[in-house]
Amino acid sequence: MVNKKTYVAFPFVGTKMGGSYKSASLLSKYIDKEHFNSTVFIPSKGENFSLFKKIENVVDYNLPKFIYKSLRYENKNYVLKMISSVIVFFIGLKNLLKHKPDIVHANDVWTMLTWGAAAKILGIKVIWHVRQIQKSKLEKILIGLSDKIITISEKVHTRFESSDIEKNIILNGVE
Amino acid sequence: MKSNISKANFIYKNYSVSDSDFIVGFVGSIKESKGTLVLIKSAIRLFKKGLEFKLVVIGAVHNREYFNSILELINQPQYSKYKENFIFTGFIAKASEAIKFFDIMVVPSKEEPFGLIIIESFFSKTVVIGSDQGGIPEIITDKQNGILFNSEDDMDLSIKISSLIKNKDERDRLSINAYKTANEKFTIRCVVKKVEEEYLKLVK
Repeated sequence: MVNKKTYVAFPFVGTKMGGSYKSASLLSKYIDKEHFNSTVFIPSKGENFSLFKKIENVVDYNLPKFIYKSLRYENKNYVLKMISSVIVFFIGLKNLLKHKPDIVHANDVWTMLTWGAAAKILGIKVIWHVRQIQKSKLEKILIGLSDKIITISEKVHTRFESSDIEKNIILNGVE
Repeated sequence: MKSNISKANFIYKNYSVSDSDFIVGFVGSIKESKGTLVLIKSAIRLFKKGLEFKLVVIGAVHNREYFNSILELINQPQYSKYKENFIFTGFIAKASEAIKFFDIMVVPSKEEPFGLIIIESFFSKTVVIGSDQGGIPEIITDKQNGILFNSEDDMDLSIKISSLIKNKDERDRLSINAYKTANEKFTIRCVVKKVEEEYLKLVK
C-alpha cells in the first residue's frame, strides 16, 4: 500500500529578501521528497528569486507590483492595504483550490491574512511560522487562523505565553 | 581555515579593498532596528584611535531617513579622512558568500527575533559580536562561541571590536567553537526534520 504524500504550500505576498524567504527556500529544498510534496507561491520574481532558482516547484502568481508594494509595512494607506489583501485572498483561494495542499505554511502577517484565511475557509491546515517579537494589532485573528504556531526562538515564543494555541519552538538553521 | 579566495577579487572588486585589509562586516537591512548607526559610531571611535580596518555594510536601505543620518555622520568634515574605510554595497544576493571574507561580523540589532546571519557566520568560521537583545543570546554564549555587547552602546561595541582586532588567537578560538555550535544545533537538516514532524502531527 502506498501512503499519500503530505502536500505543503509555502505562499508569500512580499518580494523582499528576509529570513522567511531563506527559511522557506531551504525547507522546500530539503524536505523529505519521499513523504512530502511542496510548492512555493511567490508574487513576483523579486530580489529574493535567486533563492528559488534551484527549487522545482515554484509558482509565480504574477501579482501586480502596486499590490505587493501596498502590503509592505512602511505603507500606511490602510484602505489600499485592505483592497490589496482582498485581491490576494481570492488569488490564494484560486491557487489552493487548484493545488489542494494539505498544509499552508505561512511566514508573515499578510500571508496569514490572505492565503491563511483562504486556507482556513477551505479546511486546509495552517501553520504560522512566527519570526517577530512584537505582537501584531491583529494577533487574535492571526491565532484564530492558525492550527499550529512555530516560533524561531524562545524570545519570540514569549509572545504567545498566554495563548492556548498549539505551539513549538524550532530554531532556524542554514545549509 | 578561512577561504583563500582573494577578498579583492570577490564582491569587493568594485571597492578599495585589498587582501591585507582587516574587514569588519554587517549584513542586513539598513534600518533602525538593525542598529547600523551604532556600528558606524563604534567604527568612528576606533578610526579616531588609529585602528585600521574596512567596515563593509551589505544590505538594502529600508529606511532612507535613517540611512541619511548615517551619511550625515560619515560626511562630517572631521571624519572625511575615514571615508574610504566605509563600504556600502547595497543588496547583494551572495551575502552569505561575502561573510567568508569578514574577519569580524557585527550584529548590532536593537531587536532581533533570531539572527540567521549569526548562524551563517558561524558556518563560515567568522567570529561574531552581537547585541544582547532578542534571540541573539540564544545563539551566542558570551566569550564561548562569540561576544555579546550591551545593545545600543557604541562605546561597549567599540571596546569589543578593538579587543578582537588585536587578538587573533581569541578570534580563532571563538570561531572554532562557533562552527561546532552551528554543526551541533543549526544544520538545516536538523530543522527540516523537526518541521516535518510538526506537519505529520497536524495532518494525522
